[in-house]
Amino acid sequence: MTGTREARLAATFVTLADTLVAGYDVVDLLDTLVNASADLLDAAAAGLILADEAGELSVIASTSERSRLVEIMQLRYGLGPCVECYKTGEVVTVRDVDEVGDKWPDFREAALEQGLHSVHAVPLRLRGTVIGALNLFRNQTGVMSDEDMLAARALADMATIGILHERTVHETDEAKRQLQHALDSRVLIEQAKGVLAHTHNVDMDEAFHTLRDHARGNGLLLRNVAEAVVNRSLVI
Amino acid sequence: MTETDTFEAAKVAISTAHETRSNLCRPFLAIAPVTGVSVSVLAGSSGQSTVCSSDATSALLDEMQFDLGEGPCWQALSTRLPVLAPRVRVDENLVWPIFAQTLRSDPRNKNVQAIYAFPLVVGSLDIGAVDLYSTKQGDLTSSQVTQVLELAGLTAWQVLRRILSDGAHGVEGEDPTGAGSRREVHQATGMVLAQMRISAADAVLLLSAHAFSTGRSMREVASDVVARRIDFSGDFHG
Repeated sequence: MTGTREARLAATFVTLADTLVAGYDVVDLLDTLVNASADLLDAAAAGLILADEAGELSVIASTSERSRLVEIMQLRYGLGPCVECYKTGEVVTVRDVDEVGDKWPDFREAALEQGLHSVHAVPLRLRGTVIGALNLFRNQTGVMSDEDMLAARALADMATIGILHERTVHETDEAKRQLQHALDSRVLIEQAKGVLAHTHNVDMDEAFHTLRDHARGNGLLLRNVAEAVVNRSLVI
Repeated sequence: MTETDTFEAAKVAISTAHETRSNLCRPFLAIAPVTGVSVSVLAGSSGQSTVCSSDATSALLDEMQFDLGEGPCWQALSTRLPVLAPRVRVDENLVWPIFAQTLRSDPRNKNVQAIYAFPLVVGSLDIGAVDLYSTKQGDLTSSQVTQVLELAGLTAWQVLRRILSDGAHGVEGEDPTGAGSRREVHQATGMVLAQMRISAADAVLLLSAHAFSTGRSMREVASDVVARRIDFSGDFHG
């Protein structure tokens, strides 16, 4: 990649910010992020883990199978710098993977097997809420420079905003759908009564009984039967 | 009671309306110098209904706006801002010209001099509107606008609660969202769609066009359809 590191970092932020507009793909965003992080921060591999509503962690994006394996191992046992980062909501740094054998033996073994010698894990958090972690792995030992750590944090913040934004949009859409559903129900039932009143040449009360009997007799919801009658996919 | 006490009482009245089954319209009359009030649900092409109205004129103003699909309540909801028309009979710059024209030419509305409409919204959910009218021209003070806005916010929650608790069952009987006020329109829509073998949306358009061209309300036409005085299936024979 050409240009100074600062310029490339700025360009990455612009790309990530662009993805926050409507219609964007969050998977795309996270993939871009993970690869940008690895590239800009000189990491051999990078992975992003996210927790679902139940608090279960899973790998959402990674630069290669390598770091994926490392994380998977940690997620299964819950022991390692990435999981600790998520649990504490704080940055976790492993200067030399070789040295954490007492604390996290399985993680150490798996990481060394892949030639990864240091880890820098940044939490994905918005105020008090931690939703996951961005994990950076290097081939050499040592800690990240202050500049790099700052950049890593900024990238993690971007990821957090992008993810939470997408969730909000989904929840809003869902709330609107539920409201519309509730409002439509009564209208659909009245319309269905009209359809049946005409086709059977009966009054509205009779039409309602026909509708209700059909729903009960077939174990269906009244509203769903009404909807089918109105869009003429069901003839009673 | 001081003005503050009145406002506080109005807020309490609306906040407890669900539990006490009390009227959502009356508290607005206590805090604004208006003649009549109506609260309506507006959602999509067939979900409109009047939840409550304090007099026949308020109910009529709602109905006109439902039938025409335009008017201050629609504007208030789509802009999410108060729509204030203090001299509605003479104002030129209104975005609802057909409603204004219909209002001015209908003798039943001859006393309506001012209309103020406020949106009912909960977060990003569009619920409906509160329409207030007065027999005197004039502006609401900014303090009155603020108070009505606050009451409207509380009202929106109440109406939403009713919609969601009522919508779960969709049965005959109690009708707290006032959907019954348009019941015959929906029933007529069903009959027409069956008569013509068209979609519900097209049936609504047909009824609406028929009402407009004959100078009647949709409810009057719907009533005729339900009573079988009008049948649309005969219209296109031969």
